[in-house]
Amino acid sequence: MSSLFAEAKVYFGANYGIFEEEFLADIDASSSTNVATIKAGYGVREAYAVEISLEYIDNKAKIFSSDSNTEFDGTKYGMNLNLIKAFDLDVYVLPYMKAGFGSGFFDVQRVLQNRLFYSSFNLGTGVFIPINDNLDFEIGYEYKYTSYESVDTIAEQISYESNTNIAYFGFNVRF
Amino acid sequence: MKFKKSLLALITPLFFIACGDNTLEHITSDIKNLQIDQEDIISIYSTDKLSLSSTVYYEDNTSADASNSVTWENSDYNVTTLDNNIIIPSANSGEANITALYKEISDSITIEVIGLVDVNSSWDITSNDINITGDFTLTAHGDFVDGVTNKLLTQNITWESTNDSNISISDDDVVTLHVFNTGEMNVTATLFDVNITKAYIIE
Repeated sequence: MSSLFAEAKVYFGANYGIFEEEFLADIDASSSTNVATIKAGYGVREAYAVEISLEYIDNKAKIFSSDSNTEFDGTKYGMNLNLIKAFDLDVYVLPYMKAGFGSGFFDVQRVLQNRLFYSSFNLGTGVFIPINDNLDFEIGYEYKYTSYESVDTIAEQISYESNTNIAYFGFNVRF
Repeated sequence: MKFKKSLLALITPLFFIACGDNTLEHITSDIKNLQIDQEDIISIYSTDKLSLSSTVYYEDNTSADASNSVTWENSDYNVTTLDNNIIIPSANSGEANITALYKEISDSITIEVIGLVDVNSSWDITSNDINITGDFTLTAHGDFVDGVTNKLLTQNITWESTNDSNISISDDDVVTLHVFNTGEMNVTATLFDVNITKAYIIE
């Protein structure tokens, strides 16, 4: 364990990917767009890491906003905290799994609400592709279960949940 | 290294294309307005009470009861008090605005309270023929400033009796005195802190 700490490095990176969201409970709504992430982490590329990321999702769907002049719901800004476990299998790549949670917000145009918050549980898998000791590329898949702040209709508060699939690639620079 | 570059070159373009559907119509109909269901101006006698309700209307022409979701506000507690959405007038004549409020959405109506001519002298207990054991209906009547006389008083009035008799009030505001014992018995009605007591001899 002490040697693992000795090998641990701070790293910074970025991801870019596709974002496909489907709402649950017979709600016929979906969102398909791209997601960009910047991240910072600490750990050993071949073993483990803890990672915090900031997420930018360019919303191309209008699921919550009711204003006829609004084309799409607002851009989603999120933050995630994930734990990563990687495996050194002596092949070209380093497979990993990750799990964590996140939260975020986006603007909407409704009579009673102009911003909605959400939270998510995240599960993911992927591979690091090491280029050298300080640089690696990354290809991965992430699943998010997202729960949105209730929509206020006065008579009731309506909650929505969704499943999201994200496929992404990225890079990490380790120091 | 060649393998890695080839893999990245193959996969990278895929991530620039999000190919699923985007919903472009909101899934929850938004609020059009909030309205109190009663008329804009309501007259009520100071010895009556009134239950208000409110409805929220949506842009898809549906509606829902909002009576328990809104906050009910009153502009003048000298004229009336509120028990959630129940109007309980005071003794005095006057006007008060009642507002159903939810965040920045509201609707208001005006309540005109018609008071008694004189709360100390313009009403009386009108149950006089109580002289044996049994059940008797108690009533009180009053004269109001709008000219209505001898109106049955059903709200804001409380009843008490002595000599181990009981008083019950039905859902439709019928007051019944249950007399069990002979002897002297008093019945007291209290309206806006003014008491009227009648003495009876039960034989």
